[in-house]
Amino acid sequence: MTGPGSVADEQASVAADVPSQRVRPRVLALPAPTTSLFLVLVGGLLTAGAFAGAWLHLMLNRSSWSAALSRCTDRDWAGASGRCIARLEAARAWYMAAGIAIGLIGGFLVLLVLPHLIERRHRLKPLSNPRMVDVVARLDELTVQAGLRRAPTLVTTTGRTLTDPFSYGIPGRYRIALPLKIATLRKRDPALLDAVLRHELAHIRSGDVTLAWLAAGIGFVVAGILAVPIVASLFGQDRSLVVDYTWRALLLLGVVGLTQRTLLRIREHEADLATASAGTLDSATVAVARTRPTPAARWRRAFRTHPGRAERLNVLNQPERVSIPTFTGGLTAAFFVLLAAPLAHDLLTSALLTSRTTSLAWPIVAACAGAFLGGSVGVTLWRAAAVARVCGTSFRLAPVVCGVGVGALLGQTASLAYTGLAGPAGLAHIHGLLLAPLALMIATVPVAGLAAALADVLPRLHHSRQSWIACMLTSSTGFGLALWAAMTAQLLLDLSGRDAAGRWLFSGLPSWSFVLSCVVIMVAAAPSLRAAPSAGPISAWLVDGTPSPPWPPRPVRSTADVGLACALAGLTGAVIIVMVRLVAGPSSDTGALQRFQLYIWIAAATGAALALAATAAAPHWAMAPAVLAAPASALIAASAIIGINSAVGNPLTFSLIEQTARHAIALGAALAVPAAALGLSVRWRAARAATRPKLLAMALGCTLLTSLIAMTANAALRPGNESRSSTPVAATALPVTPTPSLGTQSALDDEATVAEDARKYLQHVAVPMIQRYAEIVQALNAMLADADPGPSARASTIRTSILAPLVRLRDEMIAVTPVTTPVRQVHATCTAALVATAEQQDLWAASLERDAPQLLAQSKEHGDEAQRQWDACDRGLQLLQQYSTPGQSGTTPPASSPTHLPTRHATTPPKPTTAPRSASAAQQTVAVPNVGANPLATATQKLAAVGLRWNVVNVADAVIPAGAVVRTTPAAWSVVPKGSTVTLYVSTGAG
Amino acid sequence: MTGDASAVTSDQLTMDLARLIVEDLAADECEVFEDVAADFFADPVSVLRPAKGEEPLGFGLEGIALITPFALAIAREVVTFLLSTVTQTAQDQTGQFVLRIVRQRLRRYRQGEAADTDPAPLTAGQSQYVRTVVRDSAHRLGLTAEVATTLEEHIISQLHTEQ
Repeated sequence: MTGPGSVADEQASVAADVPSQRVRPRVLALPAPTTSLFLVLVGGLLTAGAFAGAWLHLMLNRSSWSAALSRCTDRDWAGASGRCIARLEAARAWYMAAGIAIGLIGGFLVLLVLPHLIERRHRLKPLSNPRMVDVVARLDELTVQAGLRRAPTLVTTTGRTLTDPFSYGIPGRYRIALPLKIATLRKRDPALLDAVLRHELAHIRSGDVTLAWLAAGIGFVVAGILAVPIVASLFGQDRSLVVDYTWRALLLLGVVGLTQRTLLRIREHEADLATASAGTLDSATVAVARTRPTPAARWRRAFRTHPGRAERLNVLNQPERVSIPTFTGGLTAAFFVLLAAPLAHDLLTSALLTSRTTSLAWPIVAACAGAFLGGSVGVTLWRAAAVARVCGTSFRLAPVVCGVGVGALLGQTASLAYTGLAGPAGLAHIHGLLLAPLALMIATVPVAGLAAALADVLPRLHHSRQSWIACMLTSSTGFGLALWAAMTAQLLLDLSGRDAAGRWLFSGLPSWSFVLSCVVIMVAAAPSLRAAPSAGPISAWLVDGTPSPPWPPRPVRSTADVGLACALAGLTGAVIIVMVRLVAGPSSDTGALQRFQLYIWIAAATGAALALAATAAAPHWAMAPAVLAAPASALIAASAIIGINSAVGNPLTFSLIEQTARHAIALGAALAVPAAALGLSVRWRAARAATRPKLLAMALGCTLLTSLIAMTANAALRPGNESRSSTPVAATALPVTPTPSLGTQSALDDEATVAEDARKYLQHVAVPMIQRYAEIVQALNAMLADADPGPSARASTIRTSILAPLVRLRDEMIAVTPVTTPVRQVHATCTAALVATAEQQDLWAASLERDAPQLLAQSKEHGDEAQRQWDACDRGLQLLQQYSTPGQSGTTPPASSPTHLPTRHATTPPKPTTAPRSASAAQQTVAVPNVGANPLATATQKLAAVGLRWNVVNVADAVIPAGAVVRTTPAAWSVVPKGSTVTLYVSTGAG
Repeated sequence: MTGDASAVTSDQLTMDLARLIVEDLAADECEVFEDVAADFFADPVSVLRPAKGEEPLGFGLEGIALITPFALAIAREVVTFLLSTVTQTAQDQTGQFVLRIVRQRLRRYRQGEAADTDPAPLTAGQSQYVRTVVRDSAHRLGLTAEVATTLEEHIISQLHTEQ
């Protein structure tokens, strides 16, 4: 028992910390982020149930699954095979969903049973002593005061097992376990009884009872489910996964336990504040002074469900302490989100395969993950900003940013989805692991800035709802976009190398969905500009006590200052673009796309410059205007592109305007995020006393600087600057995604399995694909043979006769997932070739429809890319043919092979060799290489390399540059006898 | 003295002594004394079983516990000793007689009732033994030394001892 002296010392210590004249914020008037954190925790646990479901599916259906998959792959791959595999995956998805359902239902069942167990353990029974009816009556009064409709039941025991009051129960039937001693003290110390009852009622009112016990219940159930694979492995023959699985499961359960305790401690603080708010601060302080002391050892505090006495007294006296964002808060939120995201993606991919909408899986997962992070980290930052604004204090952002980074890294590494995979998170390139943590860390900073800007309008509101909903919307969208971009880039990096990831920044990122998401953020942030408060008093609902102190004024006088800086930065960017054009001169046809990209990068850099200058000048509120002004600034700068285009006599088309605006907004917003993070993080001396001239000077300087950086970066990111080989793939058509392999991948890649897989792939996938592609190329040649059908007619033909079958072929290829790693690598390359070719045709059609030279230039760019991919595909198919040939099956996969990506069917056991060999037919023939748009010399080299002869026919062509091959006869990928003659149609220019 | 009579006598004396303790040290608990005592005599082990760990969503109070179960437990130890001292010397060992004798060793009852036999006060050695019994019981129950000393002094003050 701690003597009263120590309590007095702690109270004295607390009192010494409290300034005499200070504002006391009403923290409870602002929503708590712990509810979202509880939901994140529950979500993380439930996805662990999904893993258990997938594992069970594998264990129960190992042999039948193998046979079924083999039957699927023996079918016509283009049609029946895809549907067949989709059905198999749907079955797996059902198992995963069942795992989630069992966790959830089990959690609810535990929630129902727990009250009985608690009552049995403590020997609790309703308080029925007739001398204590006044206690029950008092509870009824306090229940009404607390705003609850139904009073909880008071239970107690005569034994020693109940010395601390607590609440439990199920929704609608809550109970408060009250030690008899407190009831007996009610006449001598009525404040203690009131404080205790108010505290427990606060827990009930805020939903803590349901959330805490539900989380505990699901935790019990999932712990049991997670133990099954360990026990089964220990008693079974295959123990290869025990260690890899066990550490992940233990880490998950350990973090769950610590997180539950952390959240409960925060909820205790909030219940204390509610107690003080409903009664008096003094009575609450006296009651809290009788609680358990703070453990001396810091590590012991982490394991307790209650904060120590000194901490509680501190928070009671300084409520703003409870709102301070912590390292632990960021860590737990990011940990569970990144832990659950791969499993959720796995489940969604399996479920969506039937409808062939698997490309939606990552956006959906990113949106959900963003919502969880926005509800937890975003709301935490918003509340901290609001309280800091009321109190005139500040808080450190670094702990929560670091927490988010560490949590994301740990969660991603420890996710059960990657059990059994080689490398951290199943990645071949370990640096890819850092992308999501870095993206989330960077996003956290501007989210904090936006939260501060939105919190700044609170004095104009009668309730916090409008402000925090806007904050949650913006932060959820921001986190979701950051996660989506990071995971997509991670996949591309691992699959195709840095070159492809860099190119995706320009081709994949500026999608309309990304732009629309940016618009959502801008719209949600807009109220912070409209409701800019003057230096009036703080709203009464935000503070305890009167008179309210004045709301601190903004450091910069008006939003117009940022608007002016926006215009200045945009115009400066436009001038730089014009100067670049004047200095560099007109671009060649092939260089048009690079020039367009350079202009866009410069425009985007002006947006980043503005964000940097504005946030550095006024970190407390400028994030919102910066979010709005950065894309606007980029747009102003990008208008120079349209101006140049018109000045040189090109027609002004909708397509040019649309593409310029989309790229400028998307990249301007994307670059503004790290720039704002830098601006909010760095405290420049010059920015401390921000004035309009200083802001404008900073905007100008930053624009010049970032434009220079953009020009350098554009050159660095240009394809071809990477020394090592790469196989870029467009982001919209990622053929493979990380899914659990359960450690069987290495076993699948033995020589015999690779040979069999290669043989089947050549027979059922490659050869049919080549034949169908040859038909498409023939249709293309037939279209080109038509002299001059007109742009519209040609575009229509491209879309119907070329693009439509090409897209079907591409989609069918995407649905195929070979078993072994070497075959998957080759398949990814061939699929990427189809993707690039489809994009080339799409852009070509669009350029004809809209008369847009930029699109034509992009079409050529994709054509070059497609050619590189076809070359790689060609080499890969030849290699597979070697694998599948007896006597050469021991050939190892290429050392330079860039991919080692786990795939959905990594769990598939090796297939039996039942199908007859048919690839040998391909050994007597060769496929005509795709030499379209190649210079004649290159084309002839390629033909000679595969044993073909050629003759040349010159033709006029407006698209293909002079000296390059327009088409061939037979068409590319036509299977012809070795030694055949191929006719090369070489362009003589527009004629 | 028969077994049943002994049990009844022991329980009554335990309640008497425990009530004296509770009335002096925690008078608030008198209104629940009968309830606690009934549960204690029905299942003393359960009543005295200490709490384990923290419950989520508790208040976190420390040192808020009824004295009555402790008083009953310690009183029972003391009464057992007192009964043994009386039954060793008294000829008439009926329950009521022993009850009166022991009660007369409690100061409060001694003042209120006529002394039938005017039993001798506890010797110094017996008093010291009672102290030992109280301390050991308190230690077993997990009470702090401070509380144990308070109980010890209080119980001794309730007994008719040699000056």
